Amino acid sequence: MIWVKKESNVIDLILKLISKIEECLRASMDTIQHYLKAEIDEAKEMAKKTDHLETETDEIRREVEGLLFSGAFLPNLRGDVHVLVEAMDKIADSAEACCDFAIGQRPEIPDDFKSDFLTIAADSIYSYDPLKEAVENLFSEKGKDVSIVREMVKEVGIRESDVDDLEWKLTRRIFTSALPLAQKLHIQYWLEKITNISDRIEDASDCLNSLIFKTRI
Amino acid sequence: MWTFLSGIFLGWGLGSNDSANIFGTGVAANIIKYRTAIILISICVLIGALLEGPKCFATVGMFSKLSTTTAFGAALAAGIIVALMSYLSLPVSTSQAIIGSLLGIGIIYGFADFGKLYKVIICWVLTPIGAMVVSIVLYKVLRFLFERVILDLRLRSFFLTGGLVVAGCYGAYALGANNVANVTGVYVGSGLLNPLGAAAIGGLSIASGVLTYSRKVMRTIGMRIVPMDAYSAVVSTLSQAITIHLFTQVGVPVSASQAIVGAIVGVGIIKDVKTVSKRMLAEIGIGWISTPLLSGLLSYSIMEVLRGGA
Repeated sequence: MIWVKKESNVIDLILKLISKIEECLRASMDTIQHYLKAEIDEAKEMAKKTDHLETETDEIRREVEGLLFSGAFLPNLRGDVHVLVEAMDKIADSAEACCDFAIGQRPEIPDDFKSDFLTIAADSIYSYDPLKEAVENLFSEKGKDVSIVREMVKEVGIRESDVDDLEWKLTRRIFTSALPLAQKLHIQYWLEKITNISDRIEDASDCLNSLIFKTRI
Repeated sequence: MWTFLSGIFLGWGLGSNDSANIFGTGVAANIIKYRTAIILISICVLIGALLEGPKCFATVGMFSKLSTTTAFGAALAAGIIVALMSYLSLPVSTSQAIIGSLLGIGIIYGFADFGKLYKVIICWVLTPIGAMVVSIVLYKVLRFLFERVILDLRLRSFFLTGGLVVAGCYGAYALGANNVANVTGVYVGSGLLNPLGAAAIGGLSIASGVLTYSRKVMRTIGMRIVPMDAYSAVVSTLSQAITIHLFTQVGVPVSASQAIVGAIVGVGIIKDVKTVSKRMLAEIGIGWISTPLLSGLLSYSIMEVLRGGA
């Protein structure tokens, strides 16, 4: 549709961005899995891939910003689309930060904590799935189904809350264990980096909620 | 020829002020460029004036029997009042200013016909109320279309941007059709111009105000309305245009500024939000009395001076 070319380009880029973020999150999950299995070379490889994908998401974000500032969408919607894209980009940033921490600082995770770390990482990262569905629905050519978008936004909130619960329980286990304090703090800091991903996903879903509100008549 | 100068001055003031009611929202929100907006308004005002402007000439002429001098004095008094009220940032109606002027002059010469005033006053009061009703109906009808049919965000953006431009052009057309009588109706009443010539001169003078001095008012008014979403802006602009176009069909020039305020109030009622302050509504109420009264007093004074000099 030639008369909505800028808007179409923005939406195509947003859809590309959500796929790229998904790839980035899967690469970061692989990094964590390899790291917890002490497969450092493979973990490094996946961390590099995560970095690379994060750079690509930055490029897409900048492209979207350029189009938005050149006048795509109505002004009252433009700002919210921009905020959403920035919030989504931060999801990839948090995944990259999580991998960088593991590869750069090598936190030593005791064996009996590894499965908990893995569960939390998976739950944190996969809370992205409902967000992806919501964004795809909102920008669908067939038109948005607000009820689905709202349901998915709610699902993100539930998943993030579950991750918080698991994080709290594991943090308590870490600090009541016999590990040296430095190690406790070190692995707890990595745990924070992992759960930060679901926090950023929830932030993006909040932006989406605001966008739905703005598109309502 | 000099007698037209006061009418051109009044038209210029009208153009510089009322263009803000048409595209103020769009310009302030950067949906349409200022330059594009003023060109579109100027063209549409002129078309409106030429095609339907003569419909309101009879109403302006019915209050007084005019001579060349009285036509000049009436337009001058109205022009000064419009300029003064605009300078003071008070909402002003050229329709009320010119009718007040004519009545002031009519009092001096003893042929003011207050009996015919009721129709005009009813229309003045009905303008914001009518615009409010139109905007409530339009909001609901178009919302159905937007929420059920236009679901794609890209298309919505396109229709809202296009809608604002179309509504603005229609608003400019309706403004030209309805308000040109305020500007040059007195010259038709005095026999100085035929309706088509008056429509052309009036339309061009309104366009000159739009083209030369509307930026500041457009920004100010636009900023006042800009917190509205694009959909509400389209509905209120379109409602204003429909309302003043309807009054053109009954031959009564009305206030575009008061129509837009009424339309915005209508949107606010639907959305259950406060869109217009009580102060703005009070200013409209005061304007109904103060504008014709001040114009009447001024035209009376101008004519007394001219008569004394003669």
